[in-house]
Amino acid sequence: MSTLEDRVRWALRETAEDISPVDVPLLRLPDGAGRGPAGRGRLAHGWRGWPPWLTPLAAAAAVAAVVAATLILTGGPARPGPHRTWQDALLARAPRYYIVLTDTGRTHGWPRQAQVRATRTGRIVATRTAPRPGNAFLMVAAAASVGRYVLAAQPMALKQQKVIGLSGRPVSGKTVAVQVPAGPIRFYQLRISSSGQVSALSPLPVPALPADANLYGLALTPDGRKLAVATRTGGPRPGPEIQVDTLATGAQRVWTWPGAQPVEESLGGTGSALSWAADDRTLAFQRLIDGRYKVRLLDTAAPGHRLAASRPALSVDWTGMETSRRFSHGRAVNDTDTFGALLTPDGSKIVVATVTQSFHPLTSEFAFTEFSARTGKVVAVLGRWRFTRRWPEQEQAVLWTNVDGSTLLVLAHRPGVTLNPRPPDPGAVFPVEFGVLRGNRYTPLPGQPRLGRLSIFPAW
Amino acid sequence: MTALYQAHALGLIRFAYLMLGERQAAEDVVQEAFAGLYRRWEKLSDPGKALPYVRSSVLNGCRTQLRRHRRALAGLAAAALADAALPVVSAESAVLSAEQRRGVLLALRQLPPRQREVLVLRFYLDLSEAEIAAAMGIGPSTVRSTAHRALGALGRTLEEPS
Repeated sequence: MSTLEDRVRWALRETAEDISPVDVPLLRLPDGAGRGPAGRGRLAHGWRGWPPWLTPLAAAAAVAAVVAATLILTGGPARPGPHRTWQDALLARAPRYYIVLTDTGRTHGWPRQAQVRATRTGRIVATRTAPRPGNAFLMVAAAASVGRYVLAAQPMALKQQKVIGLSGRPVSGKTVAVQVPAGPIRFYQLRISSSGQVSALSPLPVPALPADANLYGLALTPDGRKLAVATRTGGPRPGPEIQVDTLATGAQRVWTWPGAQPVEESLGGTGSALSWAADDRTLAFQRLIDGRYKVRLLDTAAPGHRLAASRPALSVDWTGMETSRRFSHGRAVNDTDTFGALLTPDGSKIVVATVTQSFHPLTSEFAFTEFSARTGKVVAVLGRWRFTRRWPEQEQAVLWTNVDGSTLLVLAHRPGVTLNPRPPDPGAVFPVEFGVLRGNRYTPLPGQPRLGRLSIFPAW
Repeated sequence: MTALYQAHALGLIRFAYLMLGERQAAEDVVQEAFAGLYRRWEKLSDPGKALPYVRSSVLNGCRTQLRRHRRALAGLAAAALADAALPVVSAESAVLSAEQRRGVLLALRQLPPRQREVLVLRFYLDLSEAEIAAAMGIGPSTVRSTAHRALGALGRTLEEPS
């Protein structure tokens, strides 16, 4: 760089290109009532007509409005035109589609069906069944911005197991059918085009995991080119193993940490034990160690194969299951129950669902807390909701984040719900649902699947 | 308006992104600026004023966002604050010279807001002194002196004579 001016110009232009032309949203205009060229207020003050220079632009805008309306009706792009409400605008910030793995009611637990749903309506756009023979889906990862999804599937066999009674002994003559792994775990991809066309499932050139392997996490880079898989090594010192596969070539790199705690989350197979930054090289993974969830960042472009060479980024107390939850009389304690951390694509933050609880009075304050990925300190708290009188179930999770963590897709207890049963009903529960959160604005997803039917959370 | 948006939205979003460091906030500011233009269609007597109007609106929107942002972050640790408003270096350009770019961006961020605005308008949007003056609501001579002071401060920060 020859001059200071050149350096400034270069630095600004390089940085500005972080925003690519495809990132530009369609123009959203406010509702016309009382404002703008077609508003009644305008007419009341004497409509003078369009200025001549605006006529072709107005025609173009009219065409755009028709196109936008058509796209709304056909489930097209998520930002098609003016939003009638702030809820619409909020939903439009989320990816257009998500994938839900669900059982068909006759599959003994493991999901055999992948539903592609429209985020804005909940409408099922397409369904794909797990590959034959007898496969079930285990996990799904999404790169929604490029419409690429990877599903892990494994053949399952039905096995009759004896029913164990309350005494701990088998109940005579009673058995129950369960699914047990009966073959290697393979990976399949599904594509959704910009026009909403959903492809068939197709096998990926990713090495299969053995039948007895456990799958702890699955994550696609935002560009959809690489897949990270968390599993566990065998041998004398089993430990976590992370594989990163380049989908176009089948090339694979493997990192291990013999003897260490496994990569895992406590949400039950959401895949969120792993998450990528948009640089497509920084991978966040998490482990539970001595009552603390620890998130580390692995530079997958650096040489070496030691997971221990990754950088610690966050350490959060976790008190585990309900029986071991700490109570503190009269004062709040920071307590995280379920734990699944997501790295924001810009790499700046780690987002975690957290809860702060107090016993007298009985309250639970749920929030989505954002920690600096560099310092581990809290930088933002979204959706801080307080529940009183009764302890809600601690089921809250972050399932997707936009580039900087300002918009989240979450599993949350519905804010504003008061449950105050008299006498207390031990069976009463707070509603839990999927929704979009931005700042403190929250709206539930329309037409969302019933949580009770899902063993695995959706992927965006 | 659609044509105006198609022609200038990308540049304006990038400009707002440089000022704010957040994509969503940048998009919001630009959308709001065009919404404001839409509401003022009737009052625009000269089509040539549409772009300067929306450019000024984006600049004002960025200022408002930054004021809110500063308030929101007032209680946070300094280290976290240092991360807050700097666009993250993407992987592609990271390969080239992330450290150099980061250095320039950090130096830019240390400038007073008005000096930073002048430099971004001049070196990113390539606006003339008159256009910068119109966007910022200041005189051309003030633009010149502000730019001179900004480059001087930037040079000292980067240990390079301007």
